[in-house]
Amino acid sequence: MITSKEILKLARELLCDSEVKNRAAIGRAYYASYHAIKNLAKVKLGYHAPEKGDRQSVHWHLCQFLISHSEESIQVIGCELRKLSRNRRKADYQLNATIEKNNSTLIVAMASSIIDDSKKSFIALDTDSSDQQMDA
Amino acid sequence: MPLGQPQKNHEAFLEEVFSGKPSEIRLQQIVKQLKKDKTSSPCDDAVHEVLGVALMRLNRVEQAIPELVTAFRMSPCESYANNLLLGYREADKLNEGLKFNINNLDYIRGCLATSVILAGDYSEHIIDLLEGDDVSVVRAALESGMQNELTSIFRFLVEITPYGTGYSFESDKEEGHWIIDISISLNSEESEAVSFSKQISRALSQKYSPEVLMKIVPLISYQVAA
Repeated sequence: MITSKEILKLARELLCDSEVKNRAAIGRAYYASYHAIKNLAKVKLGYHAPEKGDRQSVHWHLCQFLISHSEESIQVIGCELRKLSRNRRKADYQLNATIEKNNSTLIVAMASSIIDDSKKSFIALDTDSSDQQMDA
Repeated sequence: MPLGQPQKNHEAFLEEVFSGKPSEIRLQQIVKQLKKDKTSSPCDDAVHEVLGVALMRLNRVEQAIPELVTAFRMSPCESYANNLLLGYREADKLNEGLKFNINNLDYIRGCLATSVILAGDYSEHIIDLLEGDDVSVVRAALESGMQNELTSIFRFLVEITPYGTGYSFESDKEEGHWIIDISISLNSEESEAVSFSKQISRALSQKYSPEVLMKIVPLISYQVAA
């Protein structure tokens, strides 16, 4: 068994002067944040991944769920995850494009940052809802 | 003005327009004079160029674009691309804007595509001037009915991003939807870029629907400022 933290660690380790490794780092960075955020969303926000056979992919579905959330901090995490997803797509499919090293490091930094943000936001949201329940 | 002398006047007008922000009254005078020039020299692309630049300086981008497009159409001269670039930024930042190395037609077309999106003028006669990736983005916006949102988001991004920022567009289909990526290249440090990316997301999520945010995605990249 592995964790999203380990995937992010691999993303960092892949960063170097090789474009092919930097592309792989972008992919790993996206998947690290996807898994971390999906798990938090399941536990803290009651998120359910789409059923098999659903028209939408799990990736689209999660981003849409977050962006459509009423809390602004969650919407921001959704938007950032969407950016990582688009970058991952570019890194994996657009072989003719040039992907600069500094932008690969940026994607890894963004992934790390939104994983941290999601922990804080989802926990804060959980605390708020617990407080509200206690108040009620 | 006698025939055969439009160039002199053109340069005088350009100098005036480039020297600062023209007033509305001065613009009217310029337009009046240009119309006179136009009568004497109807094919003078300078008419469109000068008028376009003046309108850009007054932030009347929508009116300026058709003029600049006409100027562009008449000549593949590099200077017209510079004029298109004026739409992005205020007059006092012009000199830095001209640091861009503008030496090929593809780049000029890219500028034109950006100007079309900025102006929100998606009319066929302008789109006909685009080629390759530039036209595909504009077509994607039209096909998906997102042209107003694309213009609105792009204008908003131009407004909030710092000077020195470069923009480019790409489109492809994902989950059966047209998706448009707006690539924003910042002159900054990495940590600033991470923070700025979130600020953009926060600002956009306050203004646009989830559907739009899924389909028009601003992608941040950065170059460390020299």
